[in-house]
Parts: sequence; C-alpha cells; structure tokens
Amino acid sequence: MSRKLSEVTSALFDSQDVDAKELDDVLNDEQSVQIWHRYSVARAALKNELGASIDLDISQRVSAAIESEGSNVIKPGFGQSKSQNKAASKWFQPLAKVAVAASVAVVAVMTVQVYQQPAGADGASAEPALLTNPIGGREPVSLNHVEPMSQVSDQQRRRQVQSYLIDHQQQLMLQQKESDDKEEQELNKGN
Amino acid sequence: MITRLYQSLIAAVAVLFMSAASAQETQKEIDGEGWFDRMSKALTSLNFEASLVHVHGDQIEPYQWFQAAGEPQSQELLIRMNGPDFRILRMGNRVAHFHTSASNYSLRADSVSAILPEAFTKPFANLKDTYQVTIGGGARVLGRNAQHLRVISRDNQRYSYSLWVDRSSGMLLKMMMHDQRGDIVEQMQLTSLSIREDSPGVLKEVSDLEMPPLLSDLRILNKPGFPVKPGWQPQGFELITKQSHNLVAESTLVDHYLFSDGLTEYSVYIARLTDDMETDVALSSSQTLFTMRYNDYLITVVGQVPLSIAQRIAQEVR
Repeated sequence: MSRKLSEVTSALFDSQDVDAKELDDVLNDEQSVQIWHRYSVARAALKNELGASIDLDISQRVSAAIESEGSNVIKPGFGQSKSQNKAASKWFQPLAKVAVAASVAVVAVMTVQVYQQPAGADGASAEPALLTNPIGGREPVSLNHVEPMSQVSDQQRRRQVQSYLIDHQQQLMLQQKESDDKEEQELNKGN
Repeated sequence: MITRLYQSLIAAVAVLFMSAASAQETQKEIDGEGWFDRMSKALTSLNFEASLVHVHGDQIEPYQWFQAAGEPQSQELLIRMNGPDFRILRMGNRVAHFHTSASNYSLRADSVSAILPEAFTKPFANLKDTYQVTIGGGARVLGRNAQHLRVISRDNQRYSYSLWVDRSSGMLLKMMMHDQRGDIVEQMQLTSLSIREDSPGVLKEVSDLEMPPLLSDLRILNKPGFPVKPGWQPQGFELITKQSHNLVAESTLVDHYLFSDGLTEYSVYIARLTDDMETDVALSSSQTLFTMRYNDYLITVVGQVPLSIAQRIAQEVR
C-alpha cells in the first residue's frame, strides 16, 4: 500500500500514523519537505504564532538574479563607454565657447570685398563687388563668427566692418533707452 | 430631382456671394492705417504664444515668442532656439537680455524689437510724415484669413515692408522687408500662434525674476570732436544723437551721428584715418555698410538703408 507522497505528507501533518518507510520517503523528497514547510507556515499564521521569525526577505534572491543577468541590464547614462559619455555631454553643452563676451551685437561677416569705384563716377553706380552677411535686425547677441582667412588685409577689413556693425547695433539699443530721459535740447543740435 | 439639385446649388452659390460681399463690406470699413493700428494694438495687448522663423541673408533663425498683456505691467519673452541660448525678456518698459556666455543687462524700451521695428507697436500716426500704408488683398497665412498691408516710404528712398495681419485678431503673422528693387532683404513668418485669455505660463514663472543692471549706466557721453559732419539726410530722417566714443570692438575714437525716421535708423561714423584702415568697403545685406575716405577722415555709414542712399550720405559728409 504505497500512498502518494503528498497523501503521506498530509497524513503526517494531521498526526496520523505513517509507517517508517513512508516517513523516510517523505524526508528524502525535497518537494514533500517544502510542502511540509509551507503547511507549517500556514498553520502558524492561522494560529497567529508566526511572529517575526519567518524570513520573507527576497532582496538577496533578486540581486542574485540580476547579477546573473547583469550584462543585459541597462545602466543610466548617454552611452555604454566613457568616451561616449563624454562626447554626449559635450554635445549637450551650449556652444558658449564660440561666443565672445562683453560685446553686445551679433555680426557674422562671411565675406567682404572691396569695391573698386571707377573714378569720377556720379555716385549712382556704387554697387559693390560684394559683400557680406551680417546677422541682421537689432539682435544684441554676442557671437563673433569669423572664418579664418589667409590675408591680413582681409582680416583687418572684417574686423573693421564688424566693429562698426556691432557699434551701430549697440547705439540703437542705447538709443531706445535714452529716448525716455534724454532732453530735447541735446537733439537736433547742429542738424 | 435634377432641378432640385440645381436649386440647392443656386441657393448655395447665392449664399456664398452674399457672404463674400458682406465680408468685403466689413473690410472696406478699415483702411491701411486702421489695419496698422489694429496690428500695433494686437502686438501690445494680446496674450499669446507663438513660434516664428526669422530669415535674413542666408540665416534662418527659429524663435519662440510669448506675450502677456497683464496687469500691472505687460511682459514679453523672445527665445532664440538655435545656437547659444539667448533670451530677451521685457517687463513693462524694461528689457533684459540674457546670454549663456556674456553678462546680462537691461535696457529701457517699450518693445523687444529684435525682429520687429519698435514702430510696429506704436500708432501709424508717428510714421505718417515719411511713410504711407496701403491695403492689399487677402491671403491665407498660418491657416488664418490674413490682410496684406504695405508700408512704403513716401520718397521711395528706403526699404519698404509687406505685412500680413490676422483679420480676426489683428496679430502680425508675416513680415517682409524689401529693397527698392523689390528684393527681399529680411523676413519673418509665424509658424504657430495661440491667442489666449490668460497669460502664458512661462511668463508667470519669470515674473519675480531679478532684472540685470541697466546698460547705459556704464556710458560716458562726449561731444563730437572732428570738424567734419553729415551734411545731408534723406527726407524724414532726423538726427537723434551725436557724440564721441570709442568703438565697442576696436578702440577707434569716432564721432557718431544717429539718424531715425521713426521706423528705421542709420549711423554715420567719422574717424581719423590711419594706415591700417580700409577705406573702400561696401556691403549690403540686411544691414548696409558704406565706407569712404574724406581728406584725413574715414566716413562710415551703417544701417538699414539702400546702398545708394548710404553712399550719398557718406559723400555729403564735409
């Protein structure tokens, strides 16, 4: 009469008689031992005998599980390698280093060329050879954006043009401010 | 059946005609000046959130633009979306410029005026002596029913503006600046607009922000020192200031004369000529610059005026 192990376990739990062989079978069977354990926990809980003794901490098992799958876990950051991280954070930075502090106007002069005015022209034909590309409007931004040029005179020309354009922008802004508190007598004098 | 279809068609067409006619009638009640004033009112009294692109030369720059018309003071915020972070914030008549890389400062002004001339926020009466505004047709701009306006100088010696104004709100939707030939010098187009009852949230956040110091406090004004001075200006332009200072970027000492016609401005600079100065430089983009030599002086004209005008202004400096 070989009962199933689960039957034996539950008989044992209910303090019924089991023979020695059956008891050995239960003790040797891992599954049955676990069932026995669960039954006892359940009974203790029902009888309110559980207390704090039971160990329900699963963190160790979770971390062990994560450890075993560590290579698949995504870590926070821009990239997986340090160099990628560095590149990414560089990319996110504002382009502050391009800008020139202190100045108030934005001008980007790409190319400026000298116009050669024919002597004795009546003035109508001053169309220059061309030209440049300043950032327009009245934008008081501090960005100087000059491409390196080989010729010294080109650089000088650019610098000169830019400083006048920048100064004009700044004068405009200051003018808007001044118009409130500046007196009429200063205006139009010697016009 | 067919006749009934015809009947309904005719009825529909008749309704269309009638609504078109009535729409035309309401338009006729507002002239160019009226539309301009509606625009200037909208630009100062609406609560809105907008995004726009500003094009000048080969530069295209996107911005976000907010305005709160609230009490006790109106607020305006313009954020450039490309390149280094740059913002202009107006609280009442104080305008602050914020840069990521330079020191922040404030100005006293009634408008942000980085993209639109300040005159657009004032009644047209201020410009009436020099400019006229004519009314064009209708157009669909930003999905809205828009009215086209043209602001042209009376002497046609300077740049003109084409404006498209929302018919229902008066808000400016699109702007083009043209040179004398009609070529586009600069343009602005709204790409989204939401007009709101209350002020945009972002402006509520900045309302207790501390404003940076006023820029003008740093400046010392001197009288012009050179014997040559501008002798001619286009009709309608008036001298606003004249003084002597060193150029911001270089330390060249210059006499500076600033002229304005209410909508646009130009500067005349006079410097003592030195060997390293370039004498014959001209450029025309959204800003015009013209440089020439007069005796021992270098004359430079800068501003949003046609090159031929800049040249004449420079030639008449004596």
